[in-house]
Amino acid sequence: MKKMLLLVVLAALIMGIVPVAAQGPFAGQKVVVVTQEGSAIGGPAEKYGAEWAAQSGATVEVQRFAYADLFPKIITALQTKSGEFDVMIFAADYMGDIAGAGYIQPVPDDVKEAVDWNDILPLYRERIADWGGTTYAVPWDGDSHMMYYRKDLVNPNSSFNEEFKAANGFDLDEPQTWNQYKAIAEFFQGKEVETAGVTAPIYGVAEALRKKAQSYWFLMDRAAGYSKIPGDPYFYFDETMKPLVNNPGWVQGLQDWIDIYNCCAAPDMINFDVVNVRAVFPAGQTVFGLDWGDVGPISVDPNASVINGLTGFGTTPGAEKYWDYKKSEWVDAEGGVNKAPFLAFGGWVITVAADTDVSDAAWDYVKYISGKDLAGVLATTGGTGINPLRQSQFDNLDLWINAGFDEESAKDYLGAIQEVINDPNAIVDLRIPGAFEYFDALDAGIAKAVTGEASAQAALDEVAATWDAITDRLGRETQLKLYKQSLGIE
Amino acid sequence: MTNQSSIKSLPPDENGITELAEDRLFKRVFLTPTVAILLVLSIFPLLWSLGISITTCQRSVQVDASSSTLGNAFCLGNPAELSLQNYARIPTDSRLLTATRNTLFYVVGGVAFQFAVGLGLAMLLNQEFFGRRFFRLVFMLPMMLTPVAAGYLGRMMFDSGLSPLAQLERTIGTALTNLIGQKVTFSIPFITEPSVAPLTIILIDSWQWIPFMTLLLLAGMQAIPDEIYEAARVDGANARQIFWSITFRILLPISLTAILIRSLEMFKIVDIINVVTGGGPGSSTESLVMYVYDTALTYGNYSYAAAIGYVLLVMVIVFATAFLAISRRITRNQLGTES
Amino acid sequence: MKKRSRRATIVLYGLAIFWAFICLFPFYWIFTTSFKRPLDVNRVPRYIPFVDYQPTLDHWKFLLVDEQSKTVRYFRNSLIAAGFACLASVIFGSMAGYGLSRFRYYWARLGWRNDNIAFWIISQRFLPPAAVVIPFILFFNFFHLIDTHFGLIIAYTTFNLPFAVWIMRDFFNSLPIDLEESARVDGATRWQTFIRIVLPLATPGLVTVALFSFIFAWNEFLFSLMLTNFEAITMPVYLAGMKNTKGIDWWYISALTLIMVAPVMLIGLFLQRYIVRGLSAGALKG
Repeated sequence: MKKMLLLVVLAALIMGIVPVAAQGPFAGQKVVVVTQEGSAIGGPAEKYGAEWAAQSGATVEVQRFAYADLFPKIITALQTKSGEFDVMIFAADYMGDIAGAGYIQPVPDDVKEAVDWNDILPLYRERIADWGGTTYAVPWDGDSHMMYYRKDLVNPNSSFNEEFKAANGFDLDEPQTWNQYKAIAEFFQGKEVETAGVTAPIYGVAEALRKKAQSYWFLMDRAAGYSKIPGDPYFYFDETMKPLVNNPGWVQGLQDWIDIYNCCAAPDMINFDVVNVRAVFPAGQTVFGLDWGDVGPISVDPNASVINGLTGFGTTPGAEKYWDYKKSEWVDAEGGVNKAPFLAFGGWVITVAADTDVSDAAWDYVKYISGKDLAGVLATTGGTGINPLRQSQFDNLDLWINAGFDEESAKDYLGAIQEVINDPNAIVDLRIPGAFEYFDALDAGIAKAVTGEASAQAALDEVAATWDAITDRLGRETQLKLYKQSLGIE
Repeated sequence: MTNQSSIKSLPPDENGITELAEDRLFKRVFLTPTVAILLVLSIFPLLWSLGISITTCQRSVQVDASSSTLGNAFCLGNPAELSLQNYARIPTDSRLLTATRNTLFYVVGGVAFQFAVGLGLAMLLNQEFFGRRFFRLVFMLPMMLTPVAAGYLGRMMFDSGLSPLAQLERTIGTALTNLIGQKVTFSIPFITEPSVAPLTIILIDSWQWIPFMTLLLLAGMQAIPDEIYEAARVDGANARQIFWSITFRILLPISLTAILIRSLEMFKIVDIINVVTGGGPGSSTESLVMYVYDTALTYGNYSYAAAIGYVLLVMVIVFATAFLAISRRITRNQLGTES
Repeated sequence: MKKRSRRATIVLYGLAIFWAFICLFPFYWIFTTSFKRPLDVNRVPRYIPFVDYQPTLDHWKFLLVDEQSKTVRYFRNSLIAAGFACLASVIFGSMAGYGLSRFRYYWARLGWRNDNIAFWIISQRFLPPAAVVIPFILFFNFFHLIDTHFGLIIAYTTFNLPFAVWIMRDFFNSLPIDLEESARVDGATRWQTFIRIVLPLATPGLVTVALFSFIFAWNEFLFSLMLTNFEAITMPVYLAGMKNTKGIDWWYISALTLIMVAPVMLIGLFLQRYIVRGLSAGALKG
């Protein structure tokens, strides 16, 4: 009996001792992180979260949801108070709905210092991370649209150049305007082309045209060239909140896209999500692909790509003329091309909830996962979903060469991104409450126009009417104020 | 019928229900758990939705969780006022009307197709033949998938570039080309053409849910005793007469339940469409519930979503009542002579 | 057993094999896809491992080794939620179905009889889930049921019950009443009659309801997404996450789908013998 008692006491002691192992500044605290499922974003948040946990003594619980469900999940949980998030990692265009409603904390100065704030490009640290003049988020991922093309085919020395030039009157080269883009795509559509030892017909373009995906962002790429007035910040609405979406510039952009779809798209492009582009272009099936920075690292991944070294990187094309909504007339672009690169989506940002109980631990986690060195590793690794956003990443070419790029491609890739980011005419995504609803209306309009349910003009007129209805419902005054704020005016 | 003193057999009432005897306690015990569960869990959502639908309740950046006014408390802290604007908006909402039309097409076309094929397969499986167990299990497989997965399978099968079907089409095209000597491209635009895509959605949904019909009908057929068939055969009835006078009659109630259940589910079709077409091309495949989902959870227009939900509720009640009334009449006509 | 002509046999097998192919081919496709490298999925269709592509175990390793803790947790959560919801639906559903089939109810205050009650029960499925999910969240949050197994179980029971009641009611309606009467004459109590006589006769119905309830709960997505955060998340939410901003991971989707379908198949295999013939010829004559 006594022996039994002793055993019980011993067991109790051992069991009591073992859990004390966790030590560190935040021992015993639990940080709940909510973000996207999958190797992109969610993967690094969890992997490096575990590293941080091991040294801080805290535990990290990463709640991961499909991208399509992430916004509904987060916003519904916040509104119903049914989630207890400490850290939220989400897309920059949720900012209007989340920061605007006061669900997150401003970034403390010591965090900025720890993550080497000034190394982050001004565009991200000043515009994307900002809401109403206060910094609410630590940018984790830089995002802008780019054009990818097969540089082995599209260059003046290409064996196709003679034939192309005879037909079109200019050399095969990286297209500067949407018209050139279309001419090249049309030329190659259906041509027998050799890719990585296989000769097969190649298609013109791969772009995300699917409904309920990202189509509106790719329309904006086009509308940007045709309707953005250099030096004027207004793009979606004018200064009275009247939608600009149905002006001739936007209509021309949509018409261009419809023409491309009808003449020279990969099969099924109407059903392409951007992720299909990331599969089809690296598989060597098209001449062009439009995407965020993601195709870059994927194109050098031997498991997913047959075009390593054959990829050219460029900014999205522009237009020869643009529509001036103030004067209501077409204006010829200065220097022949009006380019307005589009910072679609704005990247992933890290935020800390306003009502967290473990504020210090949460910010410490943020410091760890968004530190300068880690950011470099993440940006050069394919599949993390993280694109470059720090000056140090652009300066350090070795980082990219170590990741599998050849020197020329790395320069080309980084050069294209920098050109977008540093362009004073660049357009930032719509970041006001209701952004999703505005975009969905545009999405529906594009879908109708592409299938011919309505003409480009009629479809966009309907979009404009819906936008007005949304603005009225959410309050015109407030929306206008927030829109101006998001453009950095006032 | 001989009646013992302890049992009082009542004649069937107007609904054909025969009652053994009155037994109040027992009767309550049987029904109460179900009624209680449904009441507790559904009354609050029903009332909340109804209440919210006649307000301007929507997600707002002016959330005030501490506010104590009734409107704010009910609307998750967002400001809200009483208003009938949501119901006024419904008839003018073209996206809603298109989605409703699509949904009705799925319900009518899809369920009819599923019932027809399901009945055929149930009759097939009701035969005695070697390997029946194997086939029965195989036929049930698609139903076991989550609709999201069925959607992904559908996309893999109907993709016009990378699917085996597309390759088959290309092969046929090449063969035809060689045969005629003229270039022929053969490709069915399963998910790229607005006129075809809704049919593809029905095909995928049917692939998944025909087994539901088959299983219910098969279980019903298995419950028909052999003796009845034997007797009919002895009486000299042919296969067709046997089907209509026995199988069809006995299967009628369970068929109607199966059709009703499947229709109710079809009214709420969302996952497969989300995965396969996202509602496109154009607006050809968007369903009502996709629209409600966006409205409620993405746009945060809680009140409008609730109003659409209630209009849908009324529609379904009308549909279901009409369906049940008609089916009751048919059943009575069919079974009238028997009881 | 009746004789079948040779032609009828050929037609019979022809149809059965044709439909089996339609049912099975997609499963074969995801089975092979789960072993394909991304390029083998994204370039041209590949059919047979080792013949036209080199299979890889990477994806299975990822799900079962690298992500083991998640896969196991989600799988266990799904089993618990679907299992108990199925059990509750079958028990309560068969009771209510029997009640509505054999007794006359009259709710005087509403003036409702059996048909009205049955209609009310099925009408619980009329509202689109997306329209009522928010009040559900509020309700569950109030009772601290968010992210719990118990919460999911009662949610799924609620969704399954209406169908369970309707299907069971139909089955009981089709059972001859004489057997119950004679059992009662022999002195059996109502419970005994229900348990020993009625339920065994209704086995095909019970099994059907059990299978459906399990499948519905096992595959439910929206409420799992909204009512769980971490501890109680189920497989469909995990599966949906395999499409993210990096790409649609067809190979993970395929492997996860197979993982998800396996237990349902086993249950189907186990239960299907009971669907065969609940109503034995001998019992009828008694």
